[in-house]
Amino acid sequence: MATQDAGTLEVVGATRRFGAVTALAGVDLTVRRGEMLTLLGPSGSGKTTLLKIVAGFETPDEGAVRVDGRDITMAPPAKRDIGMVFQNYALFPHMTVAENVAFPLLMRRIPRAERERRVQETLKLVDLPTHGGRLPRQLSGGQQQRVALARAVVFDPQLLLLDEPFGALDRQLREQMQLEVRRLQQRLELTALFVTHDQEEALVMSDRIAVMGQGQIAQLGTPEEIYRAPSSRFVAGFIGESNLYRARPLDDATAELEGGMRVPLPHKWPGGTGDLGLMLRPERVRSLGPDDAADIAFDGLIEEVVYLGETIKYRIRSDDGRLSVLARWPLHEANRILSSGHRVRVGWRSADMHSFPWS
Amino acid sequence: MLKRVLAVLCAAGAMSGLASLPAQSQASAKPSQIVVNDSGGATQQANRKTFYNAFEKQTGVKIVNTSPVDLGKLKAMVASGNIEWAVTEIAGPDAVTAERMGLLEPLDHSVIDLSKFPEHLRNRKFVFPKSVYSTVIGYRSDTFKNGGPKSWADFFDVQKFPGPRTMQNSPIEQLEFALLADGVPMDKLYPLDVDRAFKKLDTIKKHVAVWWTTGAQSAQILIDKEAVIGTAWNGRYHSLIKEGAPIQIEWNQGAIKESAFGIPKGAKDAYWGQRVLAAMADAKLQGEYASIIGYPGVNLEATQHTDPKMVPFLPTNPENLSKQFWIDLNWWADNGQQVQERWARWMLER
Amino acid sequence: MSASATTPNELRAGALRRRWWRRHRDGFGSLAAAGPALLFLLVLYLIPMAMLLAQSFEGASLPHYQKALTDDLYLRVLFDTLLIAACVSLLCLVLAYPVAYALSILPSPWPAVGIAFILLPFWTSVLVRTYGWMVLLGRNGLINRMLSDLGVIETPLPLLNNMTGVLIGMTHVLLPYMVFPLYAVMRRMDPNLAQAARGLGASGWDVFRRIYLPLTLPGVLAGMTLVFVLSIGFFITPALLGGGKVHMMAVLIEQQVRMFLNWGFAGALSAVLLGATLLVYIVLRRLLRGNMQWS
Repeated sequence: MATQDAGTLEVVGATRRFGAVTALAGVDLTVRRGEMLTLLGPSGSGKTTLLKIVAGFETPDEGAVRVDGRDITMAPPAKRDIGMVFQNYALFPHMTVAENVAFPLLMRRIPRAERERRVQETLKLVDLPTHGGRLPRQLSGGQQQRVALARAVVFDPQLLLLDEPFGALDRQLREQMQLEVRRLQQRLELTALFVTHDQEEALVMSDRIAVMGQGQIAQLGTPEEIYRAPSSRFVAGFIGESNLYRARPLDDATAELEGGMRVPLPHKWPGGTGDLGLMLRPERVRSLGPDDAADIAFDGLIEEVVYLGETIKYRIRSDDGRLSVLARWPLHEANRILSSGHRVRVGWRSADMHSFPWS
Repeated sequence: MLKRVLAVLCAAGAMSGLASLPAQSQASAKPSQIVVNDSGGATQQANRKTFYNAFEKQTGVKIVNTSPVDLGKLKAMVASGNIEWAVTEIAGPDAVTAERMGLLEPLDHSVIDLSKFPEHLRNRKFVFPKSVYSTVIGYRSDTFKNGGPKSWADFFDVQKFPGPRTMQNSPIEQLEFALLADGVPMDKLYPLDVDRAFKKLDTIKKHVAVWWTTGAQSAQILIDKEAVIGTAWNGRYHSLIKEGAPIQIEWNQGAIKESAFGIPKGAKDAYWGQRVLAAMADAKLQGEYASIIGYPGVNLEATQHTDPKMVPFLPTNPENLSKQFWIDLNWWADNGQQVQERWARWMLER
Repeated sequence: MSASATTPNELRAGALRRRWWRRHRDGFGSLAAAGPALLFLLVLYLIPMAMLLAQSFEGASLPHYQKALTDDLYLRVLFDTLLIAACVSLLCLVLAYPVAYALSILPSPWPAVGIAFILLPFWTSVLVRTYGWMVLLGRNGLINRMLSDLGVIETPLPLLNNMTGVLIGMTHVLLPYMVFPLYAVMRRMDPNLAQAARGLGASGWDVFRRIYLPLTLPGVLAGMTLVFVLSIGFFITPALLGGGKVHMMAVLIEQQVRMFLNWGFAGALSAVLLGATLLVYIVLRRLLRGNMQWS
């Protein structure tokens, strides 16, 4: 474990209180070398506080921050060797692009020739080789973003921090930049800590995701783990769209949903007698023919139709009124769009449901 | 559109022209109030308690006061024809300048009674000699327990009377004082020997801690001990002495001049201005005024109405008067600008 | 081609006109909004000034200007005036910068409280404030007495009736004019910039020198200009606190206007002073503009 963690960021028991509010409640976190780890959570979840503690703009009340095994808990930001991309880029408006990118090198007393070479190199890396002489305000949002990125990596920092860096971009540019940043991070093998409240972004960008809520890490895992097997109601609700049911186990194999419908339990359920949360992704709901069987199946009416282009979303209520389910199906040529009021038969496998303790 | 605007403007102009005609023809119609401009502060208060209140009682016309005294403003008013003041105070040689430039209405001797004034003042045509004041030597009696400077020669003698001085930041009077200190007799001062005066002033320059600008400043400098010997207008010293300040006045070789009033040329309330001046010529009111502030009027009968305790502090008190000299305002009106420039140059020298 | 056909040149001219209008439309809009203020300035300030200046041009060889520009008395006083104005501007800058900074980072309501305190002296007349300084700075004033009671000094410090007194008094009166422009730019400053700089390895001094100071330069220029221009017109404070030994142009101009009624020469002196002020302003702007292209 220790060898694997060498050269990484370690946060141990970080706690930060603001008056009566505990913003961060004893967080432990390890970011491995070359990994992009995302702190994902709603506002007020503590992700920004954690980032600031790592960057050195906040000091934890308790706990420690280590990089490469070196304790930097009390080190000023300037002595941390961390590159950071800010929410609104925080480019220096009075400096040219090249001067902005050269700034961290200048602060590190890198000789002029070396400085110019590295600035040029990095600008080429972010695809702005000829923009060095311009002022930030003369660039587009995406270009400013790249400059901010170049400035954060030009000095080969041990760690790259990204604080909601795509918030100001429109959707298309944002998706493009996400991929670009990800590529750059992988190419330079940068260890990166990324903060966002956008779960899609987190899924695209991350090697691992730490979902944060109420000052703690609710779940830490790969995007797939987080998506497929959320460990709690909070994570399930926050990541992706889902059908979430509260269920009471009746025996080892059956549970009763709120509303009274009985369903078979998935094999891997937590056990015990407490209430369960059952999560079902909408794309796992299948449209059934009149005679098709499934672990769970019922007839119902389409209540609501949402057209999403590639896919289409239906809200379906069972005829007995005890269950409402959200289904998302791809729109193949064969599929026609069903309208509200249409009768359908739907079902799913019990293995498609993921369970976790309710509370 | 433009034509219509012009037409309206012309009509308005014509109407205002018409409207102003009857106003001019009835110049002596009684206004509800008139504006009297004076130097403000304590003198304005004393004016108010005596002359202004008496005038209001006699005529039923209210007096509104403005300050400060400003020859430039007087010129601007007369030049533009927009005259706010019915009467204004005019300082020192400015009165002569104002008279020469034709900025003043003639005094109406049928309204203003000058018969009890000293003979040489009875025929004043434009400038009303309202009161007199004197620039005198003052010193701290606690610093000079065995007697202070008795003359300008003493004032300039920093061996005999050591300590910082204060004088007014103006060539007027300072040149006279320098010449007196240099031995010129009081009655041979004018025309001033400017070169000689500046040469003598050179000897005192570095001992003058403050060249004062305002009357309030002049006496306060002795109180604050910024200087121990100084010059100020007699009333300024008196008001501090009355409050118990350790200051002694030396009347010898004091510079007397008149505080003048006049009526701006073309003032629409000129008649009422004459009536204000008439009140200021009244012996009884002059006596009351001097009792308050120590600046006597020149009506020869005024002393009878003056508080006897004040009399020794008046520059016109015969005992004081004989020791002093009159400033020649005509000389200053002729030479002021040139000498002022030289003064400024001299001040710049180190 | 018929006579009524629009030539390409005309088309282009029309397009240029439209583009010109589009580009300047907002400018004209704000000009119209500023109309009453401009009219006010025109009637009450520019026209009288033009009339005064017109008087200064009498005589074919411009004798007033010859005198104003060659007489060493006026040149020396002009130099002193500009020097004093420059010193006061610098003093104000040094004092106002930290004050404005503190105001800009304080949580509400403290900035409002601070601003009220800074504005407080504005409600007292300049004369009263000046006399206040005379009480404080005199040989037997509060400061000297305190220092001698504490045994710090034996003879009183010469704080009043000299250049020191004038600079203290003028700086006090003019300080708010420096604080507010600085406060305005500092308030608008993105706090992330300083944080970003620190994160990128800048020390506190580097952050100040390379980020904060250059970004507040527009406020510095605005404040310096205001204080400088106002200093040049100062009159009562230097006369009273300088003990008559500090000479400023406004006093000489006032003498010409009030005592000698020589308005032509007064106009010439004013024009020279105005010209010198503009020159200083232009030079200052030139010097700083290289650093302000971004704004």
